[in-house]
Amino acid sequence: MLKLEKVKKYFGGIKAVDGCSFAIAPKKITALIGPNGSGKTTIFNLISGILKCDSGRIFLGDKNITNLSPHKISNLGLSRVFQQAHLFDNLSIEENMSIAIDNEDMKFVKNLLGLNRISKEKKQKIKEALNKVGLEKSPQHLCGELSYGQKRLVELARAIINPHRLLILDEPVAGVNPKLREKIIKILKDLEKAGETVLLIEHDMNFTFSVANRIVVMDAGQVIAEGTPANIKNNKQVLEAYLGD
Amino acid sequence: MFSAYIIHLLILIGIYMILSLSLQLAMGYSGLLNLGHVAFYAIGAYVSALLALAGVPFWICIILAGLVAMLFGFLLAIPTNKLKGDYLALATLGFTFVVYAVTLNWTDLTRGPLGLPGIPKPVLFGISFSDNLHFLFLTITIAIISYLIIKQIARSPFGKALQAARDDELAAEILGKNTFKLKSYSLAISAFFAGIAGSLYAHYITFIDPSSFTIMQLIPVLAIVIIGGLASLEGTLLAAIILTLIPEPLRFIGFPSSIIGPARQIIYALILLLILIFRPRGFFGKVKLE
Repeated sequence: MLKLEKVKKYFGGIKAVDGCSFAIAPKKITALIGPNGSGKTTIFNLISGILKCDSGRIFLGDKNITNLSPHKISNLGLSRVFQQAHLFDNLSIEENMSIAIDNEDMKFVKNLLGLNRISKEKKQKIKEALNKVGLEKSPQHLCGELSYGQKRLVELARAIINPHRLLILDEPVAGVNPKLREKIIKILKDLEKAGETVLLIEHDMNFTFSVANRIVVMDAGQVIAEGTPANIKNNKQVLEAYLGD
Repeated sequence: MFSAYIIHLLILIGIYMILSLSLQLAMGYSGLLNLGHVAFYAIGAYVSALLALAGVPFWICIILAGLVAMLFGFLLAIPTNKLKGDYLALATLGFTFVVYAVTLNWTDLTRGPLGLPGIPKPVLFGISFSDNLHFLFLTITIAIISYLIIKQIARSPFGKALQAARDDELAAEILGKNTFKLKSYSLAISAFFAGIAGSLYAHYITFIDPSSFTIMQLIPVLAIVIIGGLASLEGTLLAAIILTLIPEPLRFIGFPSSIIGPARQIIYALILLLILIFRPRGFFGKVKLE
């Protein structure tokens, strides 16, 4: 589903990503883990087009998405949740969702003539997505007025509803309370059952081991291990990277 | 005599409404702090005036005024694509100075500081608008049409995408929105209506020169948008009425005209300051000014 080939990204003398190669399988939840500064978020920014690779190639399915702009990559089937919620604060929850689901908003004449209304099916889809995260009762709330946890849920629901083939989540449970954490675990398990392909970054190892089918470990911009959660738990190199000598 | 004065004020309000509504689209709905708006107004006025003086019918003049301004809107969007906030404001302000310099120095076309006198009053489908009352109807009709179109744009999915890019450009891109295209369209549509307002102004006053389109003309328009409230068209309409009328009593106090001009600017600045302190979102603003 997603393949990285010898991807490099340097910031001056800092080798943020240094010849990173890995692939993720479809219909699985893969976790990308590693100590702080190991290059995980940089990898996400390269995959989603926010940063440009210095060298190497990235494929989404059979499409080469290396250095394409973020909106093109999104339209090829990538959906992303950020580490810090990126919502449209002056729009309602429902409007945030409809922006993600609507792919005809650039057809200017259609918009001008009022022919591009959100269909009943799409509205139903928005309702169902909000239902999943428990925000169906207040779709008219402005996103800027929501709590931190609610913002994270709206962003997750928005990423899920955004037409995609691959969902990438950057620390989906960072800073959320235990109850919400359980809710997010359930959402992810439901996504897996529905055949979704997910790549996530997470520092919370209990969470990671409970949701991921496969784990890729990074350190100093390179992949140091790959495997099932059971394999990774006992990998000496991984333990060293996390705990030091 | 008094009714003629009222009609004159209403025409100015109508022109300011079109100009401010169009700036609202770029600034309030798209988050583009565009200080080049008065340049589009100037382009519309000059295009319309030059064509009318060459004998082109008014309806073609006003449409071309909008379209040429729109073209410049697209052109301005290209180099300013990556700029935001203060940097965008400075770049677009530069565009105002460039257009001012061109109108001042391209004397073969614009007659420079001598200006273009004798711009004909509009004649539309055999109806003459030389009388101010008729011109008022024309202005109000165009203002209403502009309001309805901009309102439709603002509430359409396209408008919502504009607002999304305003709130968080990165998130909009990640959701598949081409934000460069969105911002270019917004700037171009905004410029189109500014060009239309410029055409109306030229045909109403019947004389334009570069001094009609300086940064000083931008201040009331900017004040209307901020005082009316960002992303509020109704607030813009109300502010256009209030801000056009507020300085008018100065005329009756008996101050010389050399004082009235600067006094107007001081009044606009004072109101702006008070609004920003006591009501940062303006009358009906949906977005906080940052």
